[in-house]
Amino acid sequence: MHASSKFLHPEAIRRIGRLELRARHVVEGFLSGIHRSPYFGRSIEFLQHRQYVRGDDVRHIDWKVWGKQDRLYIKQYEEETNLRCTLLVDVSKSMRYGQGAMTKYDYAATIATSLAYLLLRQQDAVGCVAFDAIVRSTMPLRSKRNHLMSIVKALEANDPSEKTDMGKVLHHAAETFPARGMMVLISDLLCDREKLFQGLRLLEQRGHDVLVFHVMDDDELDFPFSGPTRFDGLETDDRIHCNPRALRDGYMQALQAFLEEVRLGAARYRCDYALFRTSDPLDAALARFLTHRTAIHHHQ
Amino acid sequence: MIPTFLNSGLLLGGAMFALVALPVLIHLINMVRRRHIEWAAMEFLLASQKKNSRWILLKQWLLLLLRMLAVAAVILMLAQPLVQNRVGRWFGGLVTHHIVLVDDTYSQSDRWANTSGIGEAKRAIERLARQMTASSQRQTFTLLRASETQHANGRPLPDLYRVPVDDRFSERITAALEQLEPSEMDVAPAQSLEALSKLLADQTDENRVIYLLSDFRTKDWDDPRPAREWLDRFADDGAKLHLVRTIDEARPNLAVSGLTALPGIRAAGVPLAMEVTVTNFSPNPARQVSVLLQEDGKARPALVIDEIAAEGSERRRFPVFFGTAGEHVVTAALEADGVDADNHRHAVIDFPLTLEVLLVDGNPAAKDARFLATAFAPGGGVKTGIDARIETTAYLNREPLARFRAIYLTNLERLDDAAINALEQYVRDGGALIYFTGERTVPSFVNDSLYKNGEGWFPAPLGDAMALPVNRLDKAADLEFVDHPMFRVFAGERNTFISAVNVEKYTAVAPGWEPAKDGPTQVIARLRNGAPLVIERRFGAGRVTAVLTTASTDWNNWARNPSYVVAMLEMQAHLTSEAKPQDARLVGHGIDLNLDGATYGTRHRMIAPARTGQIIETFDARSQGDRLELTIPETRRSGIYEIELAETSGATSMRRFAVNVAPGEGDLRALDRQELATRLPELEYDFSQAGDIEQRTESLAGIPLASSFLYGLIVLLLAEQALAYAVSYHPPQRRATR
Repeated sequence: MHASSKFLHPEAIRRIGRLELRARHVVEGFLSGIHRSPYFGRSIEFLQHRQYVRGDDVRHIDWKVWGKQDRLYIKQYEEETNLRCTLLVDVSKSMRYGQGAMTKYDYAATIATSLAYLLLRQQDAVGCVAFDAIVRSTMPLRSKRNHLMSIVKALEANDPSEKTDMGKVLHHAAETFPARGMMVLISDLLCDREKLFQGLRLLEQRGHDVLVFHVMDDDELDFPFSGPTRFDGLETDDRIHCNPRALRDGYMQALQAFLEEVRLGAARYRCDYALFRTSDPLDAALARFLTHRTAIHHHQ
Repeated sequence: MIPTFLNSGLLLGGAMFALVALPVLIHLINMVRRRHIEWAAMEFLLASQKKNSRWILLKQWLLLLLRMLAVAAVILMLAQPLVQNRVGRWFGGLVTHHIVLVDDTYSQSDRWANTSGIGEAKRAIERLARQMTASSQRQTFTLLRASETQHANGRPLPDLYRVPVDDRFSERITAALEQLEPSEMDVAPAQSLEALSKLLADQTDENRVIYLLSDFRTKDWDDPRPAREWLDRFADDGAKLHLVRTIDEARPNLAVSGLTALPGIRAAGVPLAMEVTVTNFSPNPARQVSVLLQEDGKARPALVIDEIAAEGSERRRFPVFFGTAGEHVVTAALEADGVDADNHRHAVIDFPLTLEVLLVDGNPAAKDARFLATAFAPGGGVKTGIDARIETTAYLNREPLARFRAIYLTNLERLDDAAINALEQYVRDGGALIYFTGERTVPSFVNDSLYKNGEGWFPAPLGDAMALPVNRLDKAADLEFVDHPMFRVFAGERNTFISAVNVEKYTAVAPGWEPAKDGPTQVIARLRNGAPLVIERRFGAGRVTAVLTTASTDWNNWARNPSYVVAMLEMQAHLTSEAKPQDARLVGHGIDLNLDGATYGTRHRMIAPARTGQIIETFDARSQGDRLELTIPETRRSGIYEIELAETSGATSMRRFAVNVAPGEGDLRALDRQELATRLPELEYDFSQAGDIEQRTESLAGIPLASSFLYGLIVLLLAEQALAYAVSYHPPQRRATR
């Protein structure tokens, strides 16, 4: 199987295309001002009129039409955006876990590739950083369509290994991509939370719009194990012999505390946060996240 | 409390395995089965483990304990423990007492296909014994035969009594069963159960299992109430009852149910009529039944009965003749059938050389007495066996009267007190007294001294002598007999002699006197005018007959009539046969002899029949004044018992007694399970055929705990499930993501 097909999941891409990412995430956001992004270029070529609806920016009302027809119309332009989006993909050892159809790494890589494909289709520049304890590979921001293949290659080349050091990675990303843009962090966030939050704060301070895609396996969220089991740490040397049923309550409490901490931390640094299960449909997850993001900007 | 277990081997092995090996095994299996997972989110697991480790461990141990208990409960339930009873629950185990009551009455000798009722009983006992030996319970065993419950001292004699079921038990059982043979007794179930109750009365702190091995004959259970009463008592005392039927079906049986001498004069050289009765205990008629007869062991021609109806009896008469005086044995026997004991019957009949009869006449000429004496010795070749002796009234005071088989008083005027008392004693002791009136009879003396308002031995108060006017127009006979054995020979119209008897004069009874209905006094002959002529009265052991006319021809012409001889001989035969009732001794009963202390010594020998050969035993007589009482307390077998009486002179004399089985026991109709159940409603018992007897779980006394363990197990499993649920994870219903 070709690598691109492995990560692109054409079915998911097709369904996101049908949901019209442009209309919902970029165009509407840009035009309504909700997505008041300085990174979007000006529109030059008039595209069409559209009837005014509540929430549209009054600056885009075509008053001439109003004068002739006594109706409010919005002028829509063919956009020419220059969105810069950097995908920060965690390829550490902990991402290798997965008992279902996909490991967390597979899932994260698929999301990253899907986003890259989506963005490149609308001529946005996409960069990519694959990391674990150190930055494994860095793809600069490009908007060429064939840039997708290099991103795919970069992700593929990085077999998960080593322990995550999020502080270093985010610092590296901030340094490597000084121009303000969108940073999409795709990780299980099983790392030092202090360093994670420091990194998020740095990105926020640098003016980046940060999205956190938190990928967790079903097993990690539900902990459905039973029977005597030995758990060996993927990134640590810890080892536990236990009856998982007995530990589940405590595990779930600790997990909920972790999820709450991450969610609040992301919110504190104005990062968009979404939790994905590896069993969640890719398109549904992406679509829900993007819709959610749009809604937030509408209410800002 | 030390409960007992039906499956103790299973208990020991199972408990060891369950309590020690099984958890270890599970642990080892789990070690092998342990999964390895490389896990990313270790920090949460570590946090959980740190927080919960102690509580988790506690719950895990608790869960393990519950599971071990559950396994133990399963093992205990399968081991079927028993506590012995409610008391035993608190004070330790009680012994289980198996009591086998074997009905060994002779109906149990019923044979079929190489076995018999008693044989089946033996096999059932052997089987029970084997099962008891195999059990680990503390047990004792009692074996009691029904025939051993009816001893003269009132105490039953068990073959085995509370013997422990141990290593020597099978030896003991084998020895006891060798002795177990059908007896010739007839013991009702209630009697043997009552005796068993007596036997067990002294000890109550035990668990009893009572096995009644019987053929359950219909005749014994037609009225089940007496037996039921005892069975209820046993059941109320907590005993488990097992009724075990030893026979498979009822078979036909013939029995000699009677062998009696008919009334008649018994004397050497005088033929005597006897009667044998054969009963057919079968729903089908029996044909061509031969009855073998023996006189003193010598065979005489057999009788053949053409047909005996189903459930019916047939009687046949036959004469016996013994030329010598003494006690002679007559035996009637049938050919062998299912039950032997009732196929033969014995009778001992005493034939004295002569029957001594005393004739006392009030008239010195003794006219009346001579007529009687002539009647008793009619002359020619006829031998009556009667030796009549004519005496005056003085003889009554002088000599002992006991040796006379009958005393005839004719035409008496008066008697002195000594004579009256002697006669009274004679009648009380069983003598026969015949009183003829006549010219000399003084009614006032008779009424005052002999009748004494009914308290004396004379049957009726007398009035004056009356004439019976001759009625030429009336052709009716002067004598009218009621149906009485004494005059049965005259019954019917064919006897014309009696109609020729004319009574001219008679002594009337007091005006208005009539015998009380169903009283001891009976008018057995009347005159044509209705006046009583012959009155009989039972007095003490004997009887008195008053003939209210003369024995001679003074007042009638009877003495000239041939019927006179017949009537007097019949009267004599009737009186003497009644005076000395025939021996009707049944097996089980004793023999009592009253001996003259002057003639006999105190130590005597008895020769009794046994299963094989004879038993010779010595008995001592007890002194009672000048008499000796010799008591043979009980008899065990039918046959002829001979008692060799030692006389003080050094000589010995022999007395013989026939002892026979009770005839009804030969009725082999028996109850089956349903019929028995209808007779014993609401009684809790187990019923089985001897071949199927089994010591079932529930048959053991004691309170079974298996069900308690089952409930315990259910509770434990519920608790285990609850705890397991509490300590484990059960995934919720996964909701659709969208």
